[in-house]
Amino acid sequence: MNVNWQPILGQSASSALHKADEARPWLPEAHVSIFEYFAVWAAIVGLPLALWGIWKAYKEAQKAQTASRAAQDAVGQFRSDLGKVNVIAELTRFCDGISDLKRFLRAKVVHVVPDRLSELRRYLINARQSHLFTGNNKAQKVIQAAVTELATTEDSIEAHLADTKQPLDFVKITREMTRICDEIHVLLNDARTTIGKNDKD
Amino acid sequence: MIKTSEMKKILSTVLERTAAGRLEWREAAAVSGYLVSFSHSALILRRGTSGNPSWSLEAINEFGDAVGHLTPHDSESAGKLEKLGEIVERKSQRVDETLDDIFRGLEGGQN
Repeated sequence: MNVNWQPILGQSASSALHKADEARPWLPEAHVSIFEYFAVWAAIVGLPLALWGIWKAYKEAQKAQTASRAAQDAVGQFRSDLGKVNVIAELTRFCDGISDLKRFLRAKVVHVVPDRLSELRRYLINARQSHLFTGNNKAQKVIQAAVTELATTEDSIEAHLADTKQPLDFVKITREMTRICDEIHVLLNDARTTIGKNDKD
Repeated sequence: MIKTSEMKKILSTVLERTAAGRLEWREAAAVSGYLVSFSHSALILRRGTSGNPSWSLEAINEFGDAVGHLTPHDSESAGKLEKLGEIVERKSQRVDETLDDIFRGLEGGQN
């Protein structure tokens, strides 16, 4: 039996499709839309751009971190300097107070001396708490010796005021006050030289 | 307050260190005696009055207050305090150095 097979599509439609494929030789056999090609190109260009963006953002973050650290350091340094200025003020008041005290002792105006002595002791105790003298054993010893001397002198003068028969060697006390002032003055000068200097140096 | 037993322990150590020249005593201002200071404490070696010439040791806290006291209430403490007083006086007056210098000068015949 003879069967006459006929193409499903008409001859003319099939050849028209073939011609269209030939007109776009860059396209592969499988049909891909223009949007999909655009997406591929965008991915090729976009990836380095994204990496550059990430790198740039990282650099900016680093810069910001460095600036923040520098700002924190500056604030820390300012606080440290402020503490040093307070110590310098306390030690300066101490040295001025010692000068006044010596004048009172020479004039034998004894009744005001105990209060002055305890005030001077307080200046030293405040100054000692500063970070400036933390770990500085020599400075701590000088301050402790001065605090001890002031306290024992205060006790002796109080005892003298209570009972004037208690002896008081004014010359020796005045001489020791001068020595204490000289020792504290060395600490004062050391403290002055640290102003504006980085504590980490 | 520091107990007497602790003060005795301090005295033994102080005597040993002072004899070895490891503690710098200085004459105290308002009391008759000597003091040595540490970073947050101090010791005062007080010379007794004419009626009671023995030495006593005081421990001072960081604010200058006395927190311990040792008087020669037994022969052992009395002996150690006496010895400490003698060493401290000699050292503070630089007696040994002066004697050495005098003998060196005498031997060399120089003046």
